[in-house]
Amino acid sequence: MTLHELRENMHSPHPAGESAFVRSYDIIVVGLGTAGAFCAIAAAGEGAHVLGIERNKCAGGMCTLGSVNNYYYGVQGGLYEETDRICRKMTDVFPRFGAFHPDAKKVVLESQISEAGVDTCYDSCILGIYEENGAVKGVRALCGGKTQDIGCTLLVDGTSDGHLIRMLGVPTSLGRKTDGKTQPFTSVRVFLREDGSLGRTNFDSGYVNQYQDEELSQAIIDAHSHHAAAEVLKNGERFLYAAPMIGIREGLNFQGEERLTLEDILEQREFLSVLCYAYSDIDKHGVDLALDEPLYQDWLMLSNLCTVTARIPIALGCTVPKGYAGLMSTGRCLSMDSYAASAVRMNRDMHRLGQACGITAAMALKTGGRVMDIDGKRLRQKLIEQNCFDLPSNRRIGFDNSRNPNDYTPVEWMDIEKPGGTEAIRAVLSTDCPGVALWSCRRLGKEKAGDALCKMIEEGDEMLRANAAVALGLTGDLRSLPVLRELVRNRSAFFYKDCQRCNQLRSAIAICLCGRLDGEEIVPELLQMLKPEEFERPLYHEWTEPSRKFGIRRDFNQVYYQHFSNAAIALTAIACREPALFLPIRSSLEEALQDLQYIRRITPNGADTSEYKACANIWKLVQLRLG
Amino acid sequence: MDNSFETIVLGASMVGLGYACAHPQSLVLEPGELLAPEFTAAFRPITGPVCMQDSPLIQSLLGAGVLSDDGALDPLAFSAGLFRFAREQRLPVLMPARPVSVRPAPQGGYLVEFLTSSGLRRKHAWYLLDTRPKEVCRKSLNLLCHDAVPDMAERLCGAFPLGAESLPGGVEGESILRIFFSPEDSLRAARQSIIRGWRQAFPGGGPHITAIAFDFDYIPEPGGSLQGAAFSDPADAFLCGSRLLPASLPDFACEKEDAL
Repeated sequence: MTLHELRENMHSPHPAGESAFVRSYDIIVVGLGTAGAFCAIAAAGEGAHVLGIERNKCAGGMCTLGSVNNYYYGVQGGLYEETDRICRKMTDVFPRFGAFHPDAKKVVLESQISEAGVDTCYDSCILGIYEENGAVKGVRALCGGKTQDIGCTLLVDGTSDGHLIRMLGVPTSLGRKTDGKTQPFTSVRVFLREDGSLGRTNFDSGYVNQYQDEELSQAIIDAHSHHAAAEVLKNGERFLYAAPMIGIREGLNFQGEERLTLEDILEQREFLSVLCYAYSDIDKHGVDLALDEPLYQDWLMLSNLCTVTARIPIALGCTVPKGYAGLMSTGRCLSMDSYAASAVRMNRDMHRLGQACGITAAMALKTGGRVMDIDGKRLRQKLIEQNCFDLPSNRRIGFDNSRNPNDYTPVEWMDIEKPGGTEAIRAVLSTDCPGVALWSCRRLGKEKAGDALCKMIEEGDEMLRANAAVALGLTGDLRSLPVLRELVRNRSAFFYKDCQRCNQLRSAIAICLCGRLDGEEIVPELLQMLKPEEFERPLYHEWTEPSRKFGIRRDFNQVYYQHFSNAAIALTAIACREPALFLPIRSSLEEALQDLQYIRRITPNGADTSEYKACANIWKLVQLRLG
Repeated sequence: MDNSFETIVLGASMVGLGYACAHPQSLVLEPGELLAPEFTAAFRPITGPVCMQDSPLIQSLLGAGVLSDDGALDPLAFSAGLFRFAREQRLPVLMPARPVSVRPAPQGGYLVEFLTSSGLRRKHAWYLLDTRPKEVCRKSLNLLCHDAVPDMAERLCGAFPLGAESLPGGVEGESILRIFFSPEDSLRAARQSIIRGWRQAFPGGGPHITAIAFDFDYIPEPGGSLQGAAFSDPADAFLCGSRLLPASLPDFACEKEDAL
């Protein structure tokens, strides 16, 4: 038997000999958070003997200690509905606050965990994992100040950051492929409004690699320190507390028996062994779209489909590290890519996934902890019976208003080959909400859509001409370039209107596409965008877009940022493609970016802020690509 | 990270932070994600003026507006002010960092093993300062309330066997309610007990609990001690910590394997 530890961020296995487990359980769930709590309750409900080990002094994780007490999309149904129902009946004790008061949920969850018969160790942690021939056998835990070896048939990693997965040395990856960055994290502030009602706000605090402890510590201190700013403490709200659990949105993902990708979600692929479904948009909290991977850019920025929600299948194999028995992961640490991870992390879905994993874990006891060997049909039947399998409605892909569930518009992709298809695409591209048509053209490709789009460019008015060029660019067709170059040169701060928020700038879209398709001809224009005098243009100082988050704020000039960042990355892409241009472009980029003075044209905020880091990341990625 | 420190401080209490501020060759290990948790996690009331002896802490808290010139410190906004101070001073705090074991080091001093998000780490320190709360005979779980009724304390005392008290918070209309528990009561049991007791005290509804503290408030014994929870004045605790000298720190008893 081997004892696996994680020491100084390195997997550290040792021969363990025969361990004397002081006690044994069917299932150990490590992390009684948003998913783990329901995992433990559900597993115990299926008759398993369960131990829950939690590092904090309470259950609930982000939804209690983290004060994330609202719901954003996610699927309804399952155990958590009962938890919330009980919380709602506690308004004689707690004031109304979000979807549930965090302390109400804390008390109710802890009670439910106890009533389910789960043994618990709070304020405890895992020091090592025992494994033999690819099967987990138990853990070394620090419980109540004492080190104990505890056996189990199945171990569930509910830590949300895959701490047990790392401990075992399972291959993992972190962040987007371009620069390894994950979603920004948040510091939540809870306050009392002047009218006496409770409120909370997310302070998006930048990027952090939470697996580097010094970096994490500094990030926590920096993030919480912003709640002491004068504009926070003197704005009429009564500061109550900064949530004592920092809001990490994304952690590592691992190599599992199956893997969920962004492409799977966008193409609405099905898996043979779906454990349950999640439901969300492809959530993006950062603004550095220019630095994202191409598929994500195509969807979110180039097609302006930020708030389109999708039904997301989570395969059973996404919860099982490849080749392991007796091990599952629940919560937001799954086998999926970074962009799928941005969609599979919402409160409701985590509660349901936890429950589904608990049921699965209990069933896996009959197969010696081998999750992939369980009876899939029987599992699905149980999940359906317990209402934690699928969306109750027929929502697949559509525009869904998270604040009003009745406000839903399904999306159907357009097909140029169907009767009336071309006219339909033309009609949508003639509007300021062309997103569905743009993505549809991308799906069709240049062979099917190219000629029709060229005709629209020739014959259309200004709107159709521009949007058809974007669509053509999305297919990779170089015939889009003349109009795209025009859009770049004109720099019109025209925002699309498809989404309720975070609509994209057409000129920034054009810059991105030129970066992918163009060469020498666009380079002077892009270089001009990086010069300080570019910032004097009126378009960077006039408010043209009322949507939340986008626009020109005192602390962040979004319009200028999108032009600047896309120009820099476009130049980088051209330099990598065109050997003759590599050295001159690199030299120009160094001159424009190296001293970081460009950041001050975008934001006055300090180096420890999300805004500053979004700017600094541009230079970092340029250096990464060009050396 | 360095492999050896002059001092490792267990607990980011005010004593520990004061010490670390005066001794930059220290490393402070805090298991949670709040600074001075004996105050901030516990919603400990800070009644009366704090010690205003000039220090970087006092200057920072004054600048943040959470401390007034006459020594009135906002017990809640203090948390935000303290994070600001820690950032300004670049205090050597590692969080979350949970001590696992302490052993004598062959070269003298201690080998401290602790768990962070980077896994297990083992570092050497010549001195150890343990400021973690010691179990004392009295503890409370504190509540914030913003719609208190006049006979609040009396009604709560009637509902909770060990009693309760009501103290003013940092702003008008804010109360910090102390509900007392016995040393063996767990946090989970205490929370459950608070719900039952609150409903007993206010059967027809009425005031509400704005928030329950994240941890117990360990009531300071008169005279204080090195234990971080033993001060009612955070500024005083900070000063005391800053005046400690490494060589004067008591030896840490680490004979047993599971010393922590």
